[in-house]
Amino acid sequence: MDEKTAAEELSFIKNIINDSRNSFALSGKPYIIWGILIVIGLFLEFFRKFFVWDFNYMYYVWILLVTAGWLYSYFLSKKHNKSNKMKSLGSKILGSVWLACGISMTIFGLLGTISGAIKGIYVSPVMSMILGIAYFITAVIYDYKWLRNLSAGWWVGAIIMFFYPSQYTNLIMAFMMIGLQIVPGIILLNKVKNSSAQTA
Amino acid sequence: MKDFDYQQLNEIIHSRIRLAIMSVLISLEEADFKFLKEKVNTTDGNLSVHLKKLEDAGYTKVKKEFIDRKPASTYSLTDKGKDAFELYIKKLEDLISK
Repeated sequence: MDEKTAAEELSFIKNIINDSRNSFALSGKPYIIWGILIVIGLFLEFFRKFFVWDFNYMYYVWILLVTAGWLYSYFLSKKHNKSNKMKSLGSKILGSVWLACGISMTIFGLLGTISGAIKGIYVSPVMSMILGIAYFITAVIYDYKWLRNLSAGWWVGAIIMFFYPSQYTNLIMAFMMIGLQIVPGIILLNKVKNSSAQTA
Repeated sequence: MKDFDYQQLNEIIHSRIRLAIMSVLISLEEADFKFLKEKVNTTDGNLSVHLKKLEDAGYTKVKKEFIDRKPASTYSLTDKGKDAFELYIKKLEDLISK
């Protein structure tokens, strides 16, 4: 074996390792589903306050939306475990990070406000901050620079909403959810579809 | 350009398919047969033969279970396999840096 063959062999190994690492494709679906559910709640919350609707069932709406999100995540993880094609440290870390952030956001946003401990107006900036953390870790694991920029967007949004709390806070959060979660979810979904089409 | 004594390389790993299997498994915790077949791009029979060789060498371990009443085999690298793979890479790198 000469140096050229050895270099080719190393490059072959590197390509396979990279390909396998990227195999735990980041599906955009959960981002889209959760994003839509939260946007529905945020718009309802905004319209209720803006147009002074006599609608006192917002807590129930949020409970319904969040429960629907968790049920979706539960069945998705069950389906994923059944297909069990491979497991990697990256996918494990990612799953744990989103689960931990999701639980924290549910406790803070839903239970915190229902219990009266948290002022509703500050739920969005804290959510935005937590989402920034989750997106940042996701971006590092996947090595997606554009995803890292999203976390910056979430953090900037959090700062703005902390300093300028207003009746528009929920509206701002809704648009952030669309731009920084649903749209990237669609991009990720298309990426997965394209890569599956290439391997088929 | 000086030729390298290929006998210094681990002959179990030094086969295109087994090298590919090891490379896939080193980057993951475990992978099932179907996934390995997709990544290594070979036939069921060929993959089975090479997986058996790696298993016999103590480089991989297999977990057999039933998922939805269907048999499923999941493969992962053993510590011995990881060490052998790292050593193999080091030998290749040494050869290039000579």
